Amino acid sequence: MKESSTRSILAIVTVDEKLIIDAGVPTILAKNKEEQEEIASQLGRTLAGNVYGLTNGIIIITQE
Amino acid sequence: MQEKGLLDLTIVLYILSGTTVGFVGRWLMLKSDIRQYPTYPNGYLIHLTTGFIASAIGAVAYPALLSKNYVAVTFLAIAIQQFRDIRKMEKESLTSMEKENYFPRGESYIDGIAKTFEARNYIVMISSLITTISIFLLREYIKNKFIIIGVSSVIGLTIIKLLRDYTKGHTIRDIADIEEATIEFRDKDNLYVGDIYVMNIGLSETRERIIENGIGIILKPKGENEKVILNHRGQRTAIIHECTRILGLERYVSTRKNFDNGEVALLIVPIIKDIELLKEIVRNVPILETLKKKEN
Repeated sequence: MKESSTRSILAIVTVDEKLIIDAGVPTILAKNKEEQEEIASQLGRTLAGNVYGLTNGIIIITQE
Repeated sequence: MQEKGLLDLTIVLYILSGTTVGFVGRWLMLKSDIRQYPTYPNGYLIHLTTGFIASAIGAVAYPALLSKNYVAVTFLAIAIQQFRDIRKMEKESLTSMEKENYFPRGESYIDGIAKTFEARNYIVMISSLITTISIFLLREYIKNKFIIIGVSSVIGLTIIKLLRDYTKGHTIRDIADIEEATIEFRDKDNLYVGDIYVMNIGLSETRERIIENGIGIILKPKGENEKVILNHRGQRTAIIHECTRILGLERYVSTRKNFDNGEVALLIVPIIKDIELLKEIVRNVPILETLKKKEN
């Protein structure tokens, strides 16, 4: 089990680019909700991270 | 000891009796709790062997002192050092396996297990010593040596039972009630077990999988002290470890505390989905020795 006091955000997936003001991590724009989830799932597996959803519709992938 | 004493078969019989009582005691203690490590043949052999040595040292000590062989005390001191090394060895062995477990045991749990093994050797040694002392004391009053051995063995086994009961810990069963709880998602992504927020899941497929295969339970502490114990990180790690060890882990396992009432929610997506078994596992998780408190 990896231990980390703070989890870093590894990537962001959104369907609305206006919701992202600035990002220091890879930010991917999806066409719709289905594609957003698919990309988030693939990124989560690739980066061995956790996938979380925010109430505004943005999906973030964090360090496990 | 005089040479004549060494060859005295009666003395050898007395020492063997003390050793046997200790060894049988160690055997019984191994079988007493199959949930704890070791439950494997090699583990049995290692602990029975060290138990035999401990009982032999305990049984020999008194006859050796009677013959003014004070080196016996040194042997006891060396034995204690050896048992401390066993504790260290157990600790290292369990720690080295941490990364390969479904979920780690945690340092507090490992420390407790290692101390238990060390303590069991002392129980064996003390019981063998008392058995042999009883034999030598009863010899003054009873002439039939088989009666002497029989009575002393009962005394030795009673000592084992008393010490085992004294060192026996409590389990979650004693401090908390366990109830099954519903698993649901609120605000799309937030997973709740009962009314306790547990985690955020961003993918709809994963959410469906958790709803389908997940189990949620709530641990309700019986009092204020119990709240303190349940909220301890090491204790919660031990609970999760036992659940995942027996049921396997498909993906998610987590615990969360309700700050208002001290209840703890446990969510697990196990390989074997059996709610009754899960509740029984949690009830039988030992309370870590470092968390025990005296009642006010």
